[in-house]
Amino acid sequence: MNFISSYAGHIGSNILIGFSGVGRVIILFLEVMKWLGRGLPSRKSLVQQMHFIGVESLPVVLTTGAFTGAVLVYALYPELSRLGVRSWVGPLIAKSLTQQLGPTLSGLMLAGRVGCSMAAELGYMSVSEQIDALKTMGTNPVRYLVLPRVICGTLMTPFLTAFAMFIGISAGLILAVWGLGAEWHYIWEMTCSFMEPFDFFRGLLKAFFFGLTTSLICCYKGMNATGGAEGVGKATTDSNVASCITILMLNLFLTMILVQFA
Amino acid sequence: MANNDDNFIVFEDVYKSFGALNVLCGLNFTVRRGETLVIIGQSGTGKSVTLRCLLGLLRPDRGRVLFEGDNVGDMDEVQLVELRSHFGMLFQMAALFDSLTVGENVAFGVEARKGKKPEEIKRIVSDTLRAVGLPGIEDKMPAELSGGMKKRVGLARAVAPGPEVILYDEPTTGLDPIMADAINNLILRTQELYNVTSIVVTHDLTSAYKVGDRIIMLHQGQVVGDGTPEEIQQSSDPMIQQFIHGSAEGPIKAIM
Ligand SMILES: Nc1ncnc2c1ncn2[C@@H]1O[C@H](COP(=O)(O)OP(=O)(O)OP(=O)(O)O)[C@@H](O)[C@H]1O
Ligand SMILES: [Mg+2]
Repeated sequence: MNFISSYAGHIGSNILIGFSGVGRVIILFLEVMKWLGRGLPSRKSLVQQMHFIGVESLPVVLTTGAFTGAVLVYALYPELSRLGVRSWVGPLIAKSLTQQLGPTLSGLMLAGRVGCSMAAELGYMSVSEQIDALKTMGTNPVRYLVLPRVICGTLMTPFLTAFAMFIGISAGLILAVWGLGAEWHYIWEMTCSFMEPFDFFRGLLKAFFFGLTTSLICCYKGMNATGGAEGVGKATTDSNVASCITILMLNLFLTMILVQFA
Repeated sequence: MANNDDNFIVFEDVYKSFGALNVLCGLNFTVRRGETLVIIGQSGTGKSVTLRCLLGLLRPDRGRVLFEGDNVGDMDEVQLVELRSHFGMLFQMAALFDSLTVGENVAFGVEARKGKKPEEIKRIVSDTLRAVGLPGIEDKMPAELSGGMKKRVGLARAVAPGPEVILYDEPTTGLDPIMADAINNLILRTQELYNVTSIVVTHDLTSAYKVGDRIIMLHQGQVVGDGTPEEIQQSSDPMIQQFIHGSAEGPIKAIM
C-alpha cells in the first residue's frame, strides 16, 4: 500500500514538473517571439544553423524516409494482393508517408540529431559560465543563442520532411514495381488520383510544429542545465525524451484537428 | 559626491542560499570608487556567488546590493543590461565562447558596447592580447589554448571594452609564478591608466598583497576581516592568521 501511494506520489510530482516545464517552454516561446519582433539574428548565425540543421541532417532524414517507404511496401503488398486490391499500395504508402510517418519519423530523428546537440551545446555553455559571460557583456542569450536555433529548427524540419516524403514514396513505388512485380502505370495512376496537395500540406504543417516544439524544448533544457558534465548529460536525455513524447502527442492532436478540414 | 564615491558598491546584509545550503549569511562591505578590493577566503565560502550577485546574475534572498545607489536586486532586464555595461568580468573558468575565435571573443564586448569601426576594434583586440602576453593569437580557437592561456584571454576580454569596474575571479590561479606576476602588473597598470575600480577574488596572497588597496576575508558567508594588506598581515585575528599562513589547524575547520 505504502509502495503504491509513494509510486502514485512519484507519478503525480512528475506530472506537475511536466506541466511547469510546459509553462516555462511557453514563456521561452513568448520571449523568442518578442526578440523576433525586434529583428532577425545575424546572417552568420542563421547560415551556420541552417547548414547544421538542414544540410547535415539530410542523410539521416533521407535514409529514414527511404527505409520506411520500402518496408511499408513489403508489409502491405502481399495483404493487398490477397484482397485483390494490389494497386492500392501506391496511395496507401503515399498517404501514410505524407500525413503520418514522414513528419513523425523525421521529427523524431531530428529530435535525436539536432535537438540533442542543441541541448548539449547550450547545456555546456551554461555550466561553463558562457551564458553568464554573454549576459555580462550585455548580450541577451535568448536573442543570441535561442532565436537562430528556433528559427532554423522550425523552418528546416518541414523542408527536410518534404525530402523524406518524396524519397519514401519513390522508394516504395520503385520497390513495388521491381521487387514485387506491380505494374508501374497502374499504381502510379492510383497514387495520383488519390493524393491531394492538402495531404502534403498537412504533413508539412505538422513538421513545422514538431520543429518548433523540439527546438524550444531542447534550447530550454540546455539553457537551464546545471552541475557539470552530468548536468549536460541529463539536460540532453531529458530534452530528447520530452521532445519525442511531445511529438507523438502533438501528432495525435494535430491529426484530430486536421481531420476536420479534410 | 564624496559620499557617492565612498559607497560606489555596497553590500548590505546580503543573504543567499541554494536549497538548504546557506552561502551568504549577512554579508556587508563597501567598495570605494577607484579602489582595488581583494576578497580572500576558503574555497566554497561564496566569493564567486558574491560577484554574481553584484552583476545581477544571481538575486540575493535578502539584503541589498547597491551600485551607485541603485539596488541591483530590483532591476529588470533592461536595467541589468545598463548596469552590466559598467562591468568587465573575468570568470573563474574563463568562460570563453568556444564557437568563436580568440579574436572574436576579445572583440565581443567591444562590439556590443560602442559603435566602433572594425579597424579600431581590431587594434584594441591586438593591443589587449599583447598586454596579456599573447600577441597574434587572434585566429586560434579557445580549445587550442592551455588553461593559463584561456585565463589570460578571459582577462583580455574583460578589460578590452574599457569598463569602469573590473571583477577578477581568481586571475592568477593556474598560471606559473612569472606569468602570475605579469598579470598582477597588468591589473595594477589597468588600475593606474584608467582609474578603474576592481574587485579581485584570489587565493594567491602574493597577488592579494601586491594589487590590493584593501583586503576583506570571507568566512561562512560573512566578512571576518577587513583592512589594508599590512593590517591583514599584522592582524591578530586567529582566523586571518590561520588563513594567511595556510594552516589546517586553527579556528577554521579545513575538513568538516
Ligand atoms: N548556482 C548554484 N547552485 C547551487 N549551489 C551553488 C551555486 N553556485 C554556488 N553554489 C554553492 O555555493 C557555495 C559557494 O560557491 P562559490 O562558487 O561562491 O565559492 P567560492 O568562494 O568562489 O569558492 P572557490 O574559491 O572554490 O571558487 C558552494 O558550496 C557552491 O556549491
Ligand atoms: Mg569561486
